[in-house]
Amino acid sequence: MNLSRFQTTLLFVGSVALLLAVAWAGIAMGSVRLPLREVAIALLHPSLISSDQAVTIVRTLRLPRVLAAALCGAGLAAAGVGAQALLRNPLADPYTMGVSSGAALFAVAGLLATFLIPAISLPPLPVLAMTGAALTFAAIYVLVGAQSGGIYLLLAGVVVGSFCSAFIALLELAAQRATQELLFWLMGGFSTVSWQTLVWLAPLLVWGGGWLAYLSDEMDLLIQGEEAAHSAGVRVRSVQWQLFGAVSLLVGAMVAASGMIGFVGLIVPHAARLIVGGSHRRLLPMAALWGATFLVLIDLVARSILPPAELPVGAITAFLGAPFFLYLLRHRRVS
Amino acid sequence: MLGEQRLKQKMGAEKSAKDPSRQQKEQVLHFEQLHVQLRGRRVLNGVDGQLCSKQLVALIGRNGAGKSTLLRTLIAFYTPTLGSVWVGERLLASLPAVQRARFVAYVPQEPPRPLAMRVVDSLNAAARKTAPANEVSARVAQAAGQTGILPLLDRACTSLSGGEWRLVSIARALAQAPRFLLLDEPTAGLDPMNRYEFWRLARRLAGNGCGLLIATHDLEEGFSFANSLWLLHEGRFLLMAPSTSPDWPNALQRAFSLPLSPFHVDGWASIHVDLRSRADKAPASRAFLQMPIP
Repeated sequence: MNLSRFQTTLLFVGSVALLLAVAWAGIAMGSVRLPLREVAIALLHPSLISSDQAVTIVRTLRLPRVLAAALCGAGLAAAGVGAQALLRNPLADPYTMGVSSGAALFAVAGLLATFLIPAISLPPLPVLAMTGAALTFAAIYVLVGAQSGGIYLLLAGVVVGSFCSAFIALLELAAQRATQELLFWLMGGFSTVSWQTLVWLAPLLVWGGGWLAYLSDEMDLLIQGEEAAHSAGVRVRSVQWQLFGAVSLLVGAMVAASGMIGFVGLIVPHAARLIVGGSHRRLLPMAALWGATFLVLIDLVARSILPPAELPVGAITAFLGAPFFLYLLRHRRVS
Repeated sequence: MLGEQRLKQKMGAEKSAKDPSRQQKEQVLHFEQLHVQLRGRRVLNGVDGQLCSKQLVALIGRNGAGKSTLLRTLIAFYTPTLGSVWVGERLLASLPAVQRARFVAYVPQEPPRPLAMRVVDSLNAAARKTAPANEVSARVAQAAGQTGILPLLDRACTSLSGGEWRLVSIARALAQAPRFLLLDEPTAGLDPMNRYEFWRLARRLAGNGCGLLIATHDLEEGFSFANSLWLLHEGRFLLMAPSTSPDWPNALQRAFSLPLSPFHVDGWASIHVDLRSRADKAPASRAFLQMPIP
C-alpha cells in the first residue's frame, strides 16, 4: 500500500499498457478472429476504404464497442469513487444504491412514451437517464441520509432498485416490447452501441470524470468528516452538491449507453484503494483506468463464451460482484 | 453605537491597509452576542468574548452547556441566529472558505478515520487547500514535527491507536497554519502521559503565537494549564477569569451543583470537593457520597 512516487508511476504506465493490450484483444477476438496485421491495417491505415470484411468488423462493430466498454467502465468506477466519498461509505455503488435502476426506469419510460405517442417530444435519452439517476440518488440521500450508517443506505438502495426494476419490467411487458430490450436495460451490454453513442458518451464521461478529479482534495477532506473538512477550508455543502451532480451525470450517461451494469463501481475502487491507497488524486485515475480494463475484458468474455450468442455483461459483473460484495460486508474495516 | 464605531474602525483600516497595527488587530478572534439555535433548541443565548494570540483558554461547562456548539460557531460551521464572529476587523462569515481556514482551525472530538488513507495523505489534503503548492510538504513536515507524529506519517489512519489518531487530527489542523486553533475535548480517553503531552503541546503552540480554545471536562487540567477559563452555563458565560481568580468556587458551585473549588500547588491545580464545610449547602452530594456500595 505504501507505494513510492516511482512505483505509482510505474503502476500507472503498466495499467495503461494493460488497458491497450486488453482493448487490442477486444478488437481482434470474438466470433470472427482477426490476425494482428489486419487489425493494425484496419485501425491505422487511414486510406483504406471500408470494403474489406475485416475493416468493416473493426471499424463499425468492434472499435466503437471496445471504446464504449472502456468509457463505461471508467465512468462506473469513477462514479463509485465519488459516491463512496460523498456518503463516506465504501459499500456505496451506483447499482447497489438503486441509482442505476432509477436512471434505467426514466430512460425506459421516455422510450415507451415516444413509442406510444410519436408526437411527444422528450429530452434525449441520456438527459432522461441523468434525471432519473439524480432523482433516485436524492430520494435515497434525503430519506435515509448519509449519517444513519451504511446498512440502512444499502437496504434503501436495494428496495428502491427492486422497485425500479419491477417498474421497468411492467412497462416493457405492458407495451409488449421484445424481451431482448428488457434484458438490455436490466442486465446491460454493449451490443447496441455505435459511433453515434460515443459522440455523446465520451464528452459526458470526460465532463463527469474531470469534475470528480477536480474535487480530489475536497473528497480527501470530506471523508474525514464534515466538520474537519469545513475547518480545512472546504465549502462542504457546495462540494456535496457537486459530487452528487457529477455522480448522477456519470451514472445517467453510462446507463443510457449500456443499461444497468452493476458492481463495477464497487469492485474496482476497492481493489484500487487496496493498491494505491485512499488518496483521491491517485485513487480516481487508477480506478477509472482499471474500470475501463475490467469492462472491456468482461465484454470480451460475454461475447466469446457461447458464440454466436452474447451473455449480458451485467450478468457477468453481478456473478463476480455479488460474492465480492458479501465478502466486503463480512470483512469491511469501517470505524 | 457599536456598529458605527466598527464602521469607523473599518474605514480607518482600509485607509491604512499596510499599517502594521492591522496585522496586530487580526490577532484577535472576537464574538459578540452569539445566539445559536439547533433543531429549535436555543443552545447559546448571547455570549461575548475574545481570544487573543498566545492565549490558551479552557472552555468548561456541563454536558450540553453549549461548548461544542460555540466552537463550531466560531469556525462558521453553524450560523448564529444573532450576533457575529470577527477576525480582527473582518467578519468571519464573509470570508471565503480558504481564507477562513487560514485563521481558524477546528479539531472535532472523534473525526471519522478515512479508509485506506495514509496519515501523510490526510495532512497533505489539508495543507493543499491553504498553502501554495511549493510549501505543502514543508507545512506537513512542520505540523508533524510539532505534534511528534513523524514516525506515523506512512501508517494507515485506520491502524492508529486512539491517542495517535487524536494527534494526527491536531496535526491536520496545524497543517492549515491557523492563527487560532479550537479543540473539542482533545484529552478525552487519553492516558495520563498522553494528556500531559497534549497540554505541553498546547502551551508550546500558544508560545509560538497561536491562540487556543480548548473545550474540556477535566477541570484539573484546565485549571493547571490554561491562562484563563471560560465557564459556559445554560448558553451563557458564567465566568471568564484566570485560573487563580477567587470567584471560581461560587461559579463552579452554580454550574455543576457541586461544591468544587480549585487550589493551586506549585503551578498544578487540583479540584477539591468541599463537602465538609458546605455540607449544609449540598445535601444531595453528601447523601450520594454516603450511599453504601453493595
